[in-house]
Amino acid sequence: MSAWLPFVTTGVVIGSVYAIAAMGLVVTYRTTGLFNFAHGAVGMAVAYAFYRLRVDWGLPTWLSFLIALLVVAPAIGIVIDRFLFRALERSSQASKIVVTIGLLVLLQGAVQAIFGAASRRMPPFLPTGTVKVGTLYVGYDQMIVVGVAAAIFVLLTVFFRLSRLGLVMRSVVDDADLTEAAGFAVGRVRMFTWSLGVMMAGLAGILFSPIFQLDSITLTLLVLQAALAAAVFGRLTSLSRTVGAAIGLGMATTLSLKLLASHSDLLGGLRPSVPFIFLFAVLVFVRRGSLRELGVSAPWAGTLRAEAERWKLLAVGLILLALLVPDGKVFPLGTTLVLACAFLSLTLLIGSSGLICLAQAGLVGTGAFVYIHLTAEVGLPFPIALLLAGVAAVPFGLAIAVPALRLPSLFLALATFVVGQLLDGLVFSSWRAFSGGEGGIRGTRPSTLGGDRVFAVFLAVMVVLFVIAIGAMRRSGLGRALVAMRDSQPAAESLGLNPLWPKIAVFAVSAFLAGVAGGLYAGHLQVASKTFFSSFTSLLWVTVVVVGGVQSVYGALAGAFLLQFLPEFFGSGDPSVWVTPAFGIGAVLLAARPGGLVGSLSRFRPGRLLTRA
Amino acid sequence: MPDAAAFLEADNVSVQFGGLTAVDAVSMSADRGEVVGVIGPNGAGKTTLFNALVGAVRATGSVRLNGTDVTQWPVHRRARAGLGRTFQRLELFGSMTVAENLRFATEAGALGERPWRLLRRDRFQAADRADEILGLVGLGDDGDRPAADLPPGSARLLELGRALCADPQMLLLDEPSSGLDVAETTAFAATLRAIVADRGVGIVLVEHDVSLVLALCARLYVLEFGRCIADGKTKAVAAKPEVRAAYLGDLLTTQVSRRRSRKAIGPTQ
Repeated sequence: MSAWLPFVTTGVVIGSVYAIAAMGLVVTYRTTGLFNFAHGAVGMAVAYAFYRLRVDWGLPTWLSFLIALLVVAPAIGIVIDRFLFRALERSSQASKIVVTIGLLVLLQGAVQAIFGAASRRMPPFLPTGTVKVGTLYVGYDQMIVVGVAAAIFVLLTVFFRLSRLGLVMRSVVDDADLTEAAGFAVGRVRMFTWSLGVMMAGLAGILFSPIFQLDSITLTLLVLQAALAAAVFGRLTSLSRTVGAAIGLGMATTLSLKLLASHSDLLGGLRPSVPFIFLFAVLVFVRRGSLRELGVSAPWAGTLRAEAERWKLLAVGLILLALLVPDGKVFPLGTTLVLACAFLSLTLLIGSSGLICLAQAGLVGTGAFVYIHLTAEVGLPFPIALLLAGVAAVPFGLAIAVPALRLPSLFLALATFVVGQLLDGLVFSSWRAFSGGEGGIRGTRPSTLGGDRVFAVFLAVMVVLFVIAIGAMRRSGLGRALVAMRDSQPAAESLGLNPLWPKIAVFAVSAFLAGVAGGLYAGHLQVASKTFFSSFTSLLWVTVVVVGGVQSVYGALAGAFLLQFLPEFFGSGDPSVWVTPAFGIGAVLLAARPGGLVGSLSRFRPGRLLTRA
Repeated sequence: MPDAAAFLEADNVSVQFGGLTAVDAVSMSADRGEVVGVIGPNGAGKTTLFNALVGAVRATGSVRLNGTDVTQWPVHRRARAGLGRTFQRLELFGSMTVAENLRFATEAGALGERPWRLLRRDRFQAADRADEILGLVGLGDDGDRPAADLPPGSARLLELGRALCADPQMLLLDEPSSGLDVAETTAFAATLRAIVADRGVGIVLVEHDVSLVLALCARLYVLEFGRCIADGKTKAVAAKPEVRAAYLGDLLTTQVSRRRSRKAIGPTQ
């Protein structure tokens, strides 16, 4: 028993930090109805600000702490409120999700551009002494963290229950106009809420930074995961259930560390996935209707057009491009075309159904690994391996579809993110024979398509096939059923349409295309590694596809070229330093217009910019 | 009065939202070829009763369609069994054209039955049925307009037409005349009569327009606070003083009763 106690203590401490982050998310969601996917990213950004003040500039710890939490965090909160929330207030849930993911991508990219990709070590700032309780040594820092979390919980509970402002905050999300009419300054309440939420995310980020390292992606995902898990258990509204879930999550994390430490590699990789297994179970088994979205949201307005008629022109253009680009650019062009295929699998899903999948990179990765094993070890012919790579991704697509049948779109997006995490944690990280671990595994191309240029032409043909397939899907009964369900699911059902099949079918088709794209990825790069297919990549892809535009297949192509091909022509260095944040900005600006870049350009009229659409 | 063979039969249907009983042990029936009205003040539970009949909310009691117990069936299965509806708040397919709305309605049931049919292209659309109904509801000239651009009156007609395209035996119409002007309402009544006479469809009508209800409905059910307080032949029901108080005619008593209902049910309805 005594061997377990330290893990319990650590679990409670980690859980307390989770709880602080999660309470911040609940406070903002409860008041504004906007689920902030960038919650982890703002926490990370505040932690970096703290690092800059304290370590780089050498300010006293207490001063850095105060500046980070009382100046930087509220400033970020006010920016979110003014520039994001106001624009999003009445837009579709899908736009809200994409915009906050765009903010996440933007913040992570910006921090990486400023601080570099290498992680930093945050020196501890809380007292390090310990006190002996029975047989157990408890750190002062641990007691402080738990105490702070408990104090915040008590204060927030009292605040929401008893204070006038708390009551107003609760009524704002129900009916902002009515609250406004009752004489409350809704705008200020929201600004205050956002500041409070960012402060709590920032506090969590700062408290996490000495425990884990200061790394922009890890910290972002850590705070987000915590918040997400706790928020789902707490239904995004209950503070006490959220805190309980957060502590439980912290304990599950550390206890599984103890439990699985002595076991094999396979189980060792399980540890980071433990919270996500719980989460997925909740999202799958939760009673229908018990997870409800708050606030007003319009239906998603982007409709994927059936425009494959122009595929001939596209085919000629892409093949000519593949034949004519200079030798040095053939390989990057190939990468771009592969990426275009992956993006098209997302366009199909988002454009036709308005549902968002945050696990697409994991599906593509599954296809890539399966392709390599089938060609290199089983020795299957290239086209068959490619098809089976697509088939292999379908079960995971269906795993996403199961919660899709019961959950509203916000919780569905969370569920897809969880599936992506599980793919990464349980399949790519734990099953080394499948993924080759960090280094990845090497693959081959068929000898007839051996050269980079030949393969690029082949990839151009594949892009066109994807476009044709999407056009055919859009014109099929499935395409019509999805559009009908997205416009009004109650009406579609009242006409006799079973909503089950179209959703399952669209996730399956999208996963199949993603898997094939993965096979192409492995064939083109001749290597596949789990680092290409992280859940963070999935977030970036959704941003890029929506910025490109989901009403048209050309949106995905534009996104791929902007992300991968264009930077090739801008000097040396790592272009992703500015390309990634640029897409973040793009998502923030464009997500309210589902036409995206392509839609905006094709409808561009001088002067239209003045009369805001 | 309800004989055993009525197409739609509901027995003791109750719906609870939290502690509030929105529909309280309502029994009703409607057969093919007849128009039945459901009336009552705001918040009496008319729309909730509709939702219970089509399966959109959890309800106790039982619902039978053509003699089959459908209480456990989901919305889409009841729809395929012949139960159509329109919505009080418009639920059009806004990104489709008017004609596409109707054509999709002709195939929705077929697509709903067998999933692999989803992959076929135009196979299950009945374009001629859609065109015929487009003319029937008087939207012949608007076929290519985006449904989202229709004025409210035409949008009501499109919802009616779309429900008809699914080939129902029984139509539940939820406030179909709201947004129509007097001339449009008269035309709408004529359309409904034609549907009942020519197609043998039965209609259950929730409606606020008293003249439309009296002109169309052979029988009435009167709801108040979720309970059915009167039912029977229209004339007999309309003559009852408690019905006049709850809904028809006498303005003063109507207002008294509304104030009561507001107190009982809360300020939102």
